[in-house]
Amino acid sequence: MSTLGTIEVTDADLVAQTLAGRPEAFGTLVERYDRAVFHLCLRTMRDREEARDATQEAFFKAFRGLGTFKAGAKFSTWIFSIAYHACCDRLAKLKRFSDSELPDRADQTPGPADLAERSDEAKALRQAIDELPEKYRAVITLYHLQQRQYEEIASVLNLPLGTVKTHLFRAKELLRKKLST
Amino acid sequence: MNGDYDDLDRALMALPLEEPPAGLRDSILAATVYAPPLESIVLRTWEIVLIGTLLAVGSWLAIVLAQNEALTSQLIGGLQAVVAALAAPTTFLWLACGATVALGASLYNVVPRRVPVRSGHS
Repeated sequence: MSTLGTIEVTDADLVAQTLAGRPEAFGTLVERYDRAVFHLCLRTMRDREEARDATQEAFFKAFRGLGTFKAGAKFSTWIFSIAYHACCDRLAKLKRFSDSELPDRADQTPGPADLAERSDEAKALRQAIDELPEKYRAVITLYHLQQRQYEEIASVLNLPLGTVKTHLFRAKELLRKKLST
Repeated sequence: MNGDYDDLDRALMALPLEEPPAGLRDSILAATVYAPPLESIVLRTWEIVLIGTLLAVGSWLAIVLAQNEALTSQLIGGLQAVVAALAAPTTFLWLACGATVALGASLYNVVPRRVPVRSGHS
């Protein structure tokens, strides 16, 4: 939800406007979520080019399938779900063509800029998240993006609520250990 | 970071979102909002009505023919007669004659000459 002047335009309104034949309303949704979707894709893919393509694919699919968007659902959950599954498909394809385990595919050799930023807490946290197993990485990224809403995370990942909570607990445990060393 | 879960939570929530690559938004918008609509076959109402009518008549004829053996054999007989007539040497002869006349006529320039326009009235 955001404000345009004094009028509040909800995501649902923007979806309705797009479906009513005003595609420019979808542009506002892109402006609202492109960064978050890219963040999710980058944390999942750990490759900027792949994340870029997955983000684009997610919005394209969302635009084409907007008619299937259920009234009352959250657009953020829906777009995150599309993006996450686009990433999973891409990872599966990449794994098929790669002998090595994909999560280790990204270049983890720290460059000079990386080394300089090592002390930065955000940088360290980002790196710690990237080193998590894939399933924990997605949960922890969505925990951040969805502002702790477990049901929404479960919906995006298509996992039972209990599994999400377990994954989150283990992810935090691993993060805590990585950051304390 | 001291390893405490609350601190970790706070750090997670404060984690800035990744900066998307330049041009990502533009490329998304170009592929969605500003993309030309896919060309689709758009039929006018009368065309849909015509197609529907033809389909209905075709279905009706098929059912009638399937149910009436005498009519079917009559129709087949008629079709055979047409095919036989078309395949007869006389038909080919007439067709050849027609084609020759058409070819011969096309060799003559039958377009009238353009009359030059006079500049003044007499």
